[in-house]
Amino acid sequence: MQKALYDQYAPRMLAVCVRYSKNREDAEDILQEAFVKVFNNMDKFRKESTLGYWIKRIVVNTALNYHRKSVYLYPHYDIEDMHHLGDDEVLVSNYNYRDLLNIIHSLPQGCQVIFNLYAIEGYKHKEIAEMLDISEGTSKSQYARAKSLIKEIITETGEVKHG
Amino acid sequence: MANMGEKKSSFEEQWQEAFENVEMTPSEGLWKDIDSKLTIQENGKYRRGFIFYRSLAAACFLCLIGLGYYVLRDSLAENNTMLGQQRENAEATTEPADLKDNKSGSLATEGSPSTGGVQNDTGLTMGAPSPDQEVAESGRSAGTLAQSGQLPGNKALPDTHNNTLPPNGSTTYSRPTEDQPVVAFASNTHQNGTDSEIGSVMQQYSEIPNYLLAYGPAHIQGNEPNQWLKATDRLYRVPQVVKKDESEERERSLFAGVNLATNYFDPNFNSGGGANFAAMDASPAVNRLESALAMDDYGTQANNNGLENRPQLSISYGVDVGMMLNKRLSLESGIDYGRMNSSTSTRLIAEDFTQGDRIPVLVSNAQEVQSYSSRTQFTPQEQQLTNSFDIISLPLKLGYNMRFNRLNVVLSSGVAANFFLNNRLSDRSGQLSTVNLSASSAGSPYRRLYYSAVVSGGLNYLLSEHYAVSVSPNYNFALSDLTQAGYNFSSQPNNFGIDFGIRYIFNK
Repeated sequence: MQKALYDQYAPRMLAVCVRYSKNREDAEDILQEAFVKVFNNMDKFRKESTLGYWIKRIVVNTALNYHRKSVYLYPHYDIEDMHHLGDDEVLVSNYNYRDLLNIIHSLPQGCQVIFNLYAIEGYKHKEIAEMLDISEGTSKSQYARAKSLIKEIITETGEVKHG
Repeated sequence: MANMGEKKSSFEEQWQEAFENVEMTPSEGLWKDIDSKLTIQENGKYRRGFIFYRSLAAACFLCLIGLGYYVLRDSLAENNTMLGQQRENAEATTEPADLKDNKSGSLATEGSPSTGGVQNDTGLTMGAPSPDQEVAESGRSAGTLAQSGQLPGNKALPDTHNNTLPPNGSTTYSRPTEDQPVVAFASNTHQNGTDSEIGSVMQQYSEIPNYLLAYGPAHIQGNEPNQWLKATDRLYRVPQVVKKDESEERERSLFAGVNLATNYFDPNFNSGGGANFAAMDASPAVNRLESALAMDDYGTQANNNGLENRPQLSISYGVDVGMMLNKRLSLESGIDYGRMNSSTSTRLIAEDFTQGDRIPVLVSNAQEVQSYSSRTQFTPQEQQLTNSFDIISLPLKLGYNMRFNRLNVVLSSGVAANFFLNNRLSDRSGQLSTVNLSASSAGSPYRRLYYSAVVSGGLNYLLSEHYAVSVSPNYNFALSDLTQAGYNFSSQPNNFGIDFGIRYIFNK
């Protein structure tokens, strides 16, 4: 049964792990640790959410534990000083997921984590601040920095598409 | 800035859509690695379980051996059935004569010790012949038997004229000669006794002729004078002793005692799934530690240190009190104190620059280390530790008792309130400082109180009327967490112990 559960959810969860790490080896380490926790805590699954969502929370939790130290290596940026990136300036849909993955990997670790949590996982800045024990302002500034860097990367590649 | 607000823009939506259904195939060996880690963890649990069940089996085996020895020994000593067998045989083979209370001239259904009679447990009073009563001479006829001048079996009536009664108030047992009265009791004597006492008395009368034993109370009838008694002059009924029922006397009795126990205590630490998992449920406290330790690159190790604990032999002692509710059920309580030991290890040491202390960092004290993390440096170092818990336990158990003479087998179950006093992390080599965490310590993950269930099986052996010794294996498992919510780990301790005790029984 454990193997069946692993076969069903491991591919999706590995994609999540890859977004939070810099390379595949680290991603698989995170995935391995996460699934050990999943199997050890199966009795604590109370069916308040779907099993996939529960497993994903454990995977994200494990990924954050794995790379936590990197979040604090960057100074706090005042969000007022950040360059505002208009949403219509970049059309992400023009890129496949591997390109987007490469863009994410090029971000600094702290920005990468917060960008994943806010833009892709859908957490609010207040929730991210509690999860990472940082201020809400830091979360916002790191995210703004991430967006700014993404724009720079896309601009450098010369493939900015305007909708 | 509007676009930095919480409302997600199309930018975020695009990213979410891009990664929504992305999948990547894991490496071939990844599942094997996961499976091997799970197997190692399972083996650890089985090893602990094996030790527990092996100990339990040994305790049960010893109990069975003791019970079997006791039962077999009792079956060989049946002194209290000797008289009954002889009486049955006598009644089956001889024809009884009429017997009657000599003094009153009527069937006596109640004893009259005050009048000088001897009361036995059938209520029959066999009185000493009054001075003015005619006493048959030896050989004088007495009823159908006496008329013949002989007892059944052509035995001559005993010559009792020369026998003297013992002084009033005393009891003598005289070994009977062939034709002498078998027993002489003074007045006001009521004979009861335990099996062994009965046996010792009856042994003196192993040669009671069957024809004497045949004249039980069932054969007393009519109002005619007991002519045979007249003839014998001093024939006294063989005392009928009443076997005491020890179990009835122990009902509704209180008992109190002391005990010493050997224990194998497992704090049963389990990972809580990581701090962020808890944080997702709005519990941010544990994150502060990891943010502080993270700066030294070893913070994440703290959450994984000390989860594996191996039980060690521990000693506890306490007092027990209880009472029998009825013949079978008992209620027991008490108070026990023990320092429960287990062994664990850490791979992270915190060196305090100001105090010069070297402190082991485990998941249980990680929060506490955070309070002075600014003056510490973390060093990876593996060290074996002793993880001790000072606990006071108040159990309440209901027991089912099965008695076999002096041996009592009790099966009990109940609950216990366990008060956590202190946790002590100590290094056997002495290189590291000892860490003490009480329930009130800052950053302590432990609660003051947790509840557990208790099941036990015990043997009590009655040494005397008031003293008994006991041995009782028991298993205690937590019903609630020892740890507080919001920490990186949980603890639901379990404990296997064998209690050795002595108790005093207050009989009513």
